[in-house]
Amino acid sequence: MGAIRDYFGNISSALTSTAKGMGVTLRHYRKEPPITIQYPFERFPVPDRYRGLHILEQEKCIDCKLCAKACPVDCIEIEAEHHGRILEWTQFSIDYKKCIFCEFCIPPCPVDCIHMTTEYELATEDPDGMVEDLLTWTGLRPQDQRALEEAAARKAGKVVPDAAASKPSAEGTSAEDMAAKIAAIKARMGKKD
Amino acid sequence: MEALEMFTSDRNADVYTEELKLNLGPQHPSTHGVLRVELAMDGEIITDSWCDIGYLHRCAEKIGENVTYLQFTPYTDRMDYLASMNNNLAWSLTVEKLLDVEAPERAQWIRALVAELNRIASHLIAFGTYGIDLGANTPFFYAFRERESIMQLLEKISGARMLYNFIRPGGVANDIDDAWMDEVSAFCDDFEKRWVEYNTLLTDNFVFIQRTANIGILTKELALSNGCTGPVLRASGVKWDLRRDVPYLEPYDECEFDIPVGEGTHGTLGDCWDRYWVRMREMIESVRIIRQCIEKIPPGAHMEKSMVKMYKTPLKPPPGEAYVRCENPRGELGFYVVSEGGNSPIRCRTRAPSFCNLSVLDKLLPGTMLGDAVATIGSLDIVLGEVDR
Amino acid sequence: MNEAGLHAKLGAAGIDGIGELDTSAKDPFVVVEADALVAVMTFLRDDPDCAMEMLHLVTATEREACIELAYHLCSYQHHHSFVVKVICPRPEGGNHDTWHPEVPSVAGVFDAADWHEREQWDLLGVVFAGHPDPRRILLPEEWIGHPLRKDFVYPSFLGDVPLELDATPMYERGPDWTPPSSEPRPAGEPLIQPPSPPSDRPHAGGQAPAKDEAPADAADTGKEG
Repeated sequence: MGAIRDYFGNISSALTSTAKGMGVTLRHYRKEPPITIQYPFERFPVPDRYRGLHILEQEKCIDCKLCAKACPVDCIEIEAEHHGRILEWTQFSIDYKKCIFCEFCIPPCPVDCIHMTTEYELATEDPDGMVEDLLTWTGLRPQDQRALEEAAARKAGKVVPDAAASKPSAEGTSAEDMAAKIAAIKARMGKKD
Repeated sequence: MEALEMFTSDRNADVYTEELKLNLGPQHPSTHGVLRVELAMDGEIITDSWCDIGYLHRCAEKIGENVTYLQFTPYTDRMDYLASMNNNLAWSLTVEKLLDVEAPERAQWIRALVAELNRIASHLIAFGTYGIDLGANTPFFYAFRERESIMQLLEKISGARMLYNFIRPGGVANDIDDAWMDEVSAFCDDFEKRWVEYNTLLTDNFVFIQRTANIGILTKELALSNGCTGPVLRASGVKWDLRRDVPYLEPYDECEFDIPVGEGTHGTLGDCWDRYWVRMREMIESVRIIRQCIEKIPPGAHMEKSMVKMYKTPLKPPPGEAYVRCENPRGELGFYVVSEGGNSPIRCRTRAPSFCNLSVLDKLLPGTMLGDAVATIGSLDIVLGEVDR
Repeated sequence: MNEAGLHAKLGAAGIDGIGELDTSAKDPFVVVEADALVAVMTFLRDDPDCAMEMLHLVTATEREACIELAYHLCSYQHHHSFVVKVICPRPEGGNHDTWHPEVPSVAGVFDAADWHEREQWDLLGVVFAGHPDPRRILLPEEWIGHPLRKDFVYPSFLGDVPLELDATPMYERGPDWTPPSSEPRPAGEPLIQPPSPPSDRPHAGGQAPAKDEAPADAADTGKEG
């Protein structure tokens, strides 16, 4: 008799405790708002500190390679030729196949020229595009060229005709510039926005 | 005729079944990763078992000998990827012990705060996936909703969702502000209500209790001898928690919290249900610690001043060695680092809690049913990234 | 009880081969002879004043002159911990291929030592005599060599399978791609290249590896900038 009571007791305990759990689900179904985000039509807000794709302010960079040395996975490659203070750029690339987004390349920078953006959509169909060149220009800009020529002329003892015009222009990097750079990176990585 | 004789003579003996070798894993969803367990089966009873690990071996210790002390911090994220903060914390404390520096007071409180948040997130995974292992799908979604809130909170301060790299030698990467702490308290209020729902959903469920009580009983002696730590040890009735007994951060000394131990509520002490219930209660204790941290957190610097230069110049600890243990969600994580004065350690040994907890599995499984093997593995709550390193 | 007390207790136990307590280290340790290891471990576990219930960690560390085994023990009853070390000196010209130091296994004293010792055999090639299950644990059984040794050279073959270290990524392999070293190994030839002499090893002579020297120069560059 006891065995039978146990048997049916077990069944009723299982049913009642499960029904209680179902009650929680029902309450959620009726009262709680849905929390699913319909990606890619809706997106989570990304915090400002998010560690996404890198961005380089090339005007500031002095080619000290500290970021490359701080990198735990050796994914940063930098190449530039020094003409005094003026740099002839060949390469500043990050291999995003290796990069672990640890942020260790940011604090060592003495001139604060490399940053991380909040760009997080890194999936791509093209693995070659994952080696990302962060340079805005390669080689020498016209104003750099002019400055170099001027320096050479000064060395030779000639009079410089227009010193003010040949100063390297201090281009600030505004928010629009940054957005344009991110868009360019995205385009190069083969993504449709 | 001969066959009939055999049949009649063996009538009273047990039914003879041939031993069957069964592979559980490495692609089995209930092994929580790439664990392979080779089982010798007699019918549905497990007679012997051998764990086969190493499928996720990523040479973390060798890498540690080839990168600088700071550069190894992101690699510790990837060991126990469900509790990155706690791993970062253990590594940072080890390097600080080697260098004889101490993190500023505020940094210690921030560390405790984020480590406890991460502990909740990690236990939520244990809770959710344990339900899935035993056929209860619903709790998983509830657990992941709360975990998502924690991940978004930690993303706000660290900048990454899972692999935070937030706690670094000398302090923490960023300071936290009051607005963020308000969000954390709001989460704590919310979480306490949710926690009651979890219990209605899974803890009190009769089917769940039947599947876990009296299953996979780990005695105190076996647990101690095998080096089990964390919830697995506490569920066997040993009241030991590094946070209370060897406080490695200042807040653990000052905050009030209980240490849940197994009581054998629904069966024998040290069964799967006890391990599960210890984890559930630890979440609430973590909420208590978080609340006290928010209340008491002192102002000050978040990074030791003398350590800021480590980003540019590699840290060079004096020759020596340090062993630091930390209470991770899965048990005691230890780093044993030997320095000979160079830029990188010459030995970077990790005592992974999951590794030691898993070693007890071969002793728990023999004699149980195949279905209970899944319950036992799930209750140990292993992360294979940490077992194999 | 602190480490000094534990050491005194251990010294009074009448076991031969127990060294002095090194208190200069951050975690004071005692060096014991390999022969005395099992007796020391059993004493530390069984003595009611020591009561080391748990073996926390077994670590082998390769140094220039020796391989050093550290056993981290702790007690939950008394809240203390202790470190026992065994030193295996390096014989003349001993490298990872020829020299496998041997220490007695403590798996009979602490079950936890089972997997830890297997891991140390696997990665550092320390032989634990009397181990109940002396297999590799993380690496496959066919693996040659012990990769955490400083002079370890990555093998080019695993069994008969070539290990394609510099292989082209999967997505770049065309239809006519062949593995770079697919010729089968001639019989009798060693699987691994002979290791470099100890003096060439990066950590020998207290010199840091060349890779790690680089960031120090970088710091100077940074200051100029």
